[in-house]
Amino acid sequence: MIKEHILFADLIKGLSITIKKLFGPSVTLHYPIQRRELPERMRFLHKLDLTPEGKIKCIACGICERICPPKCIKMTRGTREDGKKGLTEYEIDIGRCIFCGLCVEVCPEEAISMTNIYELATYNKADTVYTMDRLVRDVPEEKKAEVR
Amino acid sequence: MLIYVLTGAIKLLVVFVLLLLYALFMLWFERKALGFIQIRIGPKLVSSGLEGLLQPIADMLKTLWKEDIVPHRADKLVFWLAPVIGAMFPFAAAMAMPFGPPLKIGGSYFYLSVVHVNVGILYILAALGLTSYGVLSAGIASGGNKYSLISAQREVAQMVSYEVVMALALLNPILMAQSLDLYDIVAMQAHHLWFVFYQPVAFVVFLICMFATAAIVPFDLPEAEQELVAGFNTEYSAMKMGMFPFGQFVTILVMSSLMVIFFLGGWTGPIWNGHPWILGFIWYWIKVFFFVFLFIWSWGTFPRYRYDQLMNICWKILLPISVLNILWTGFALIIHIPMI
Repeated sequence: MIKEHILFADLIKGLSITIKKLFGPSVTLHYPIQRRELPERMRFLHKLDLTPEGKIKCIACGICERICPPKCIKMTRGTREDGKKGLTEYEIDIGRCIFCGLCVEVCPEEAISMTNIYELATYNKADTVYTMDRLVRDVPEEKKAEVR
Repeated sequence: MLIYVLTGAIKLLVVFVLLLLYALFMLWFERKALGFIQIRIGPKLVSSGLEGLLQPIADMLKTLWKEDIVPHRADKLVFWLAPVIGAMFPFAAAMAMPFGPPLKIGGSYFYLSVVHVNVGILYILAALGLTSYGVLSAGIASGGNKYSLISAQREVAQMVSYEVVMALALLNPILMAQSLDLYDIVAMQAHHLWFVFYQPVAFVVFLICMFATAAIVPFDLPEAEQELVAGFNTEYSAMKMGMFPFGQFVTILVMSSLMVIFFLGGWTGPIWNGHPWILGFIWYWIKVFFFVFLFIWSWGTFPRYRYDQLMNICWKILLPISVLNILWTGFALIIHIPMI
């Protein structure tokens, strides 16, 4: 009673906490200048993996297309350039993708994986659809998450 | 005669520009200090070398270019006048506020306030009391917006009750100094102890009233963002909205300087108590800016009191205490006992 109403102990305690924070360090991450270091196995943009010979591992079985909850994977099968039947086109609409990772989990050939590229906003709606050319590649240098 | 008009005009201009600059950079300081209190960094990107010091200038330019919206149902004239009143009266109050110890030139004194009247405190209290008319007319003229109206009603109720207690708290130092002149009150404290040591109760009461009068955080009911969406500001846009914080920051400065003059000895220091003029000047502004900082400090610390709690604190606690305190001060002055 006396401590609170006459000596204002609670108010002084609050003020002492805030003054400590005032001179303490801030926790702000200066985002466009600094970026958080992300783990290797984050679930962001997809990547179609290649065999050591440089061919697409995907055998066009279509399981990923079927399991995808928002139905954002589109796959076309046909005759490839080398005369064999297989995958000809592969599209992921990143604008609809929910990054659940089911396509990666279900793939029998481990042909699709996810990267830690998370800055996927674009100025053009059409750019959110990632075709096979854009999915088959190593992580480009400029998109690699910079170390904080 | 002409020399008085000229010095008056120059003083007016200088003080006005200084107050504008002060209010602008208080915006920066407030955001920066609140940022650090909340473990953020505050404005930074405008002039990043200077820690975002030029942010208020960018803000002001942006505000000037914004569209000025007047609600269809608003009372146009009062809607225009409200920000003018809200910003003008704090500036008017600051005209009698001393900006430093008086300079002794030859035989006469040069006072660092635009007007030096021997009832300075009455003038300042009157001007500060009129400030609430800005908020009141803003609330009434906002075309029946219920947030603005509730905010105006709260502001007026708050001002009416806390002005009373504030005046009663200031009455104790006035009784002891037997003068309403701000310079005399400081001169009295130069010969004795600071009044805070004689009047600790009045000091605390005035400290609480200071926050209520400036409508700063524990008592910022008119502007309660969470319940009233910034109250009287709701219907305002562009520079008209920008006028209100200007007035509020100047109110903060005037209240801080009143606090320093009445209770903390103005430009007298704890160690030094005499001559080089500049030392007094520095002492004065250190103390004033401590209280200006205290406003922002509490802004970042306390939650808001409820409306009924605010009224209870004022009428049931502070008013009886300050009346008893005045009775004690008068009694002690009559029988000549030192009041420590």
